[in-house]
Amino acid sequence: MAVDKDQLIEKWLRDDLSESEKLAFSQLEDADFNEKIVEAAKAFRASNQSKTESFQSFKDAYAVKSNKKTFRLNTFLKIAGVFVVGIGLYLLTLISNGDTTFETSIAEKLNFKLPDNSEVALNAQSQVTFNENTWNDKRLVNLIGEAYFKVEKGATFDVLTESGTVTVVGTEFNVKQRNKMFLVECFEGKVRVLASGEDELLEAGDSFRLINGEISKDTTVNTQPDWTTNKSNFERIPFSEVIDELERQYEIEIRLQDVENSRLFTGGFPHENIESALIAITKPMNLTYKILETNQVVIHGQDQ
Amino acid sequence: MSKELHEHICSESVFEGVYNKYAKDLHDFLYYKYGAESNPNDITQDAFVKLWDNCKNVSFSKAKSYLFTVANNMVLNAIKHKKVVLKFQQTKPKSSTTETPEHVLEQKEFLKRYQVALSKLTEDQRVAFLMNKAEGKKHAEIAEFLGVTRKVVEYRIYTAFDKLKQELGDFKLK
Repeated sequence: MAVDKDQLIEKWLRDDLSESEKLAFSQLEDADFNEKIVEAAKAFRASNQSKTESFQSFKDAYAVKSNKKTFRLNTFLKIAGVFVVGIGLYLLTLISNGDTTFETSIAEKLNFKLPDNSEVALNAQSQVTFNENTWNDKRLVNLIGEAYFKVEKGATFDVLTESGTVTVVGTEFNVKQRNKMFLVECFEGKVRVLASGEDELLEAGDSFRLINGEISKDTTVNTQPDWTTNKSNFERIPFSEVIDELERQYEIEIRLQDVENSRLFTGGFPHENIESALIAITKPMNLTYKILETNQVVIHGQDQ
Repeated sequence: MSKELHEHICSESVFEGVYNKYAKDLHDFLYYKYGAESNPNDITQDAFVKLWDNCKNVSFSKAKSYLFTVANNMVLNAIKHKKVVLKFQQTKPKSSTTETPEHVLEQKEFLKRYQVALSKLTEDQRVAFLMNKAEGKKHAEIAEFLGVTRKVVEYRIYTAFDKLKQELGDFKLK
């Protein structure tokens, strides 16, 4: 061979192989392995994990920072200004409070649209509030419970929950905030999640979980949340949350006997058939259930 | 006095140009060098804030090296040096491929070892190698961007590759 092996690899690394050298390179005994190493580098691309802000959000952040800096110069004026603006806003809300609220009760689901035509599907026992009058200045949606958002391309708004904020950039995602559980799944585009001091950017297929103060990131293979197709699925979720969800989907009251409700449950149940739902959640946990009259269900531990 | 002194970057459109030109590269550079732990996104933002605060004193042509110096110092002040472990994203197999679960698993194992191998590279090696092979930047671009010669970049990439190959040697047989 005219060129030695190391030289070939060097040239290959700078994309500088001639046709004949390419052939020689492909005949190296570890040619495939060389290709594999370079190919694998793509899995570590920065943009998979972390990204820069657009210039617009840089400007916004800059405005906030520089405001803080000049605050001391004319504190009095600023404070006076804040009062004037505050009183103004207060009066404005007195005159017209354009809050719109959508609410679902137990075993109910609801679809509606936001002022920017984004679609929202609301799961059982949940509530979404937004203000139509101030929508153009302040795109805020308050959420209690669980909802699936299908956002128009280019639209942005923030979803506020008790546990954290989700910022939207033209995308599809599900937010679930119940008790100590906060779950965001992104199905398309990107969303940004701010919760308990963390700032995470989710891309399609990512999910974010905050359960009892513990954060974990995972992936989802779904293209929409299961509950929109009348199923509930769980992955390593405390059993008590699963029971709560069951109570939300059927008008029943569940009592647990000798069941450790912090055990983690993986599995799901359908929304249309109470019997199969109960089997689906008790069987894998080695539990038994009994349906009493008046919509009461008891779930027992096996040992008793 | 050169003319350069007057071409300051305080106008928003000029500054936006500088931002769009360098923000991503600066971010990626910090990421590959120091890992996600160093908050490359925040540091990048802070560096640009500083640049804008000082826009009268920094000419267009000096902006890049100003940004890099400022960002680099911020990171060094903020973190104690530890091993940089970069996360990876396994490409999802297309639904129609015949990839076996074993193969997927093996690939994951490979990437895990790759991750360890990357953390053993020097910062310079890792930056040059990943800017080229993960980000697809040309050697000349990287050289210009890091302020070193192309030969140096090529050497860093080559030595990085060599080291990775050694570290991953036992996967060759599979």
